[in-house]
Amino acid sequence: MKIIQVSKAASAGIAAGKAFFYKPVDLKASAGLVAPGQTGAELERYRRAEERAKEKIGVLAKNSDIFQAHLDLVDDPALRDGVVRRISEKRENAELALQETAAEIRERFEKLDDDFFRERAVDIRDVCRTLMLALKGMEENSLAGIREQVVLFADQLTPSDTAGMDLRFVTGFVTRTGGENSHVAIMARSMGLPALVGVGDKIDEVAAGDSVILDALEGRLIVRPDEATAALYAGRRERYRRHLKMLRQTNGLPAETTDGCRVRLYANAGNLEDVKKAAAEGAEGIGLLRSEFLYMQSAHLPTEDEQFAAYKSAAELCGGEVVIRTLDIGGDKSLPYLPFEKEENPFLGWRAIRISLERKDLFRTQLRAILRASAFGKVRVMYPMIISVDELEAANRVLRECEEELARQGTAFDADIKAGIMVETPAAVLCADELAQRAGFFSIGTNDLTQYLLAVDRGNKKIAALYDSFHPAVVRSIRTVIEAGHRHGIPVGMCGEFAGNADAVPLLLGFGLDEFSMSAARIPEIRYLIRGSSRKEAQGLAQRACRCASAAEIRRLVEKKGK
Amino acid sequence: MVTQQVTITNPSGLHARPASQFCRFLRKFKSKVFLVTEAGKVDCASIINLLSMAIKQGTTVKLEVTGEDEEKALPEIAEFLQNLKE
Repeated sequence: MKIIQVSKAASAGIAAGKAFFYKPVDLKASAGLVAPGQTGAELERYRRAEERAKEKIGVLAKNSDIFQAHLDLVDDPALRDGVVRRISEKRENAELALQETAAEIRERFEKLDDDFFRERAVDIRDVCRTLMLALKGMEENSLAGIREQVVLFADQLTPSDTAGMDLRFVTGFVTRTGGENSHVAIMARSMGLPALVGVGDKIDEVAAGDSVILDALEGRLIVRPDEATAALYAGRRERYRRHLKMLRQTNGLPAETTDGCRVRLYANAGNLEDVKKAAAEGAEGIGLLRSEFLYMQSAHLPTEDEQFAAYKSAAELCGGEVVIRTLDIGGDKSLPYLPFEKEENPFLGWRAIRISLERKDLFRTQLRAILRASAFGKVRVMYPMIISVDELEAANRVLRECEEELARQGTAFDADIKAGIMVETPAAVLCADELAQRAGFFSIGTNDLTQYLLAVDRGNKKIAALYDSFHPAVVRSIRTVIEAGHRHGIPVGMCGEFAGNADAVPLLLGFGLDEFSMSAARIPEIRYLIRGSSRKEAQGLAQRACRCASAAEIRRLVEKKGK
Repeated sequence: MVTQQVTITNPSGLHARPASQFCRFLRKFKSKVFLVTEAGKVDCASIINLLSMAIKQGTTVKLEVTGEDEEKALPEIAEFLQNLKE
């Protein structure tokens, strides 16, 4: 048994399972040619890969017509002849021959006029992937086929890594890199699973298949626990579950301070599943519906009807308000049907509202869908990454045009629908007064705001430790934005991870935040803390925090209050 | 070589599963089988080539069979194509 101590956990809880290591497979071929006398051996290597691939697919083909068709694809003359020709005539190595033949075939399919035939290109890609894995002697390392509880270990987990994963049997996450606001941390919190991130080289002390206990309450990994320890942790897990249950019981009670100040507790949602879970955790509404899932899960631009159906479902599932953020995507996440030019710095580039204002066709489609959905539930529109009054006014002009269009067509929508902005850029903070006069509400996006204010990329492992929402710059900005909003009579909410941070509660209550929107799993604890706080005391503390010179000072101030 | 015109009535044309079934069906014959359309001529031994012709419902193709069992094969193959129903 080994006990590994790590630093702060990114998501609380206790998990147990077998260690499963995820490594994204690199399926690129090298560019090398084989020596003239070696082509025979290379052909033989490909032939053996074909056999291995057919074995693998054969197992799946027993129960599935799709995989039966895949099996036939491996033997297809068009594929085989192409590879063989490239190996014998051009002396390409087998991986390269496969890659190029596959690309050529896929291209032929993608050019076809019919959606259905174009999708066959996906089958080709699948089969060639299996062949490539066989050639490279690699194992498919997806979670498919896992039937026991596992703890997922990885260097990092990006949205594309986890997008297709079946996470049913995953009980927790451990990553080598990443901070509290990395993708894996946010995802773990929203799933209510424990996670340890940024553990560094300590991850190398665990071997695949090792039995592990993930203690994200104390920041500990126990590898190959002995019986006594396993029993001890089973007890701790039970006690933690009871604690969560108690928190959930206060969940039926309003989010009101001891001196009667009532705030709204909302949840952030990345898809309709999240919206469903939010209600279960006591969310009174959805403070941020990230609309990107509609664009990312589709091979084509989501149509107005498709978007309308999703937004309507969200509104109906939620029961309360749903704040829909318009498309917030950029060069880092690219879409297959929306080409992005290569940018030096996609995070400061063509993204979010900039795309919407340039591609008004996309913007209109989305706004019309949101407006139509507003007839079926309480809905708000929110524009991301706003830096100026000009942008806000331009966006609102398009919104009004869509409203007029729908009115002419006799289509129902909420004529009083509120349009607001995410405050997540330094420019928006410094122009908060002017923006508050023209926006229906603010929602502070502390994730990106912290990055832009501190000039820190939260995904950059070398300096991720500098990312800190308790930094005076961020805390003072929050105060500025809330005060500006209130001066002009609009509500101010927060949808960044900071809203779900237990230590931030006194600050946010103190500044007068109206709406806290967070990962649904955080709601019970935050409600519990709010109910135990006094607004008056929080105000005093928040003002003092704005006079602090460092994040450490602010944390000390807040923690002292908590003791 | 023997030939015959066949109209594809299958609603989804010659898509993955029927194309797969068709190719497998052809293996029992010794002859080479080609389909000729406006877009070109394709060797039916390759599902990929067959699929990339994207033959839709309503298309009339020319079936070309060449080999020692071509006389027997042609009517059987034509019937198979005409009876596709998915």
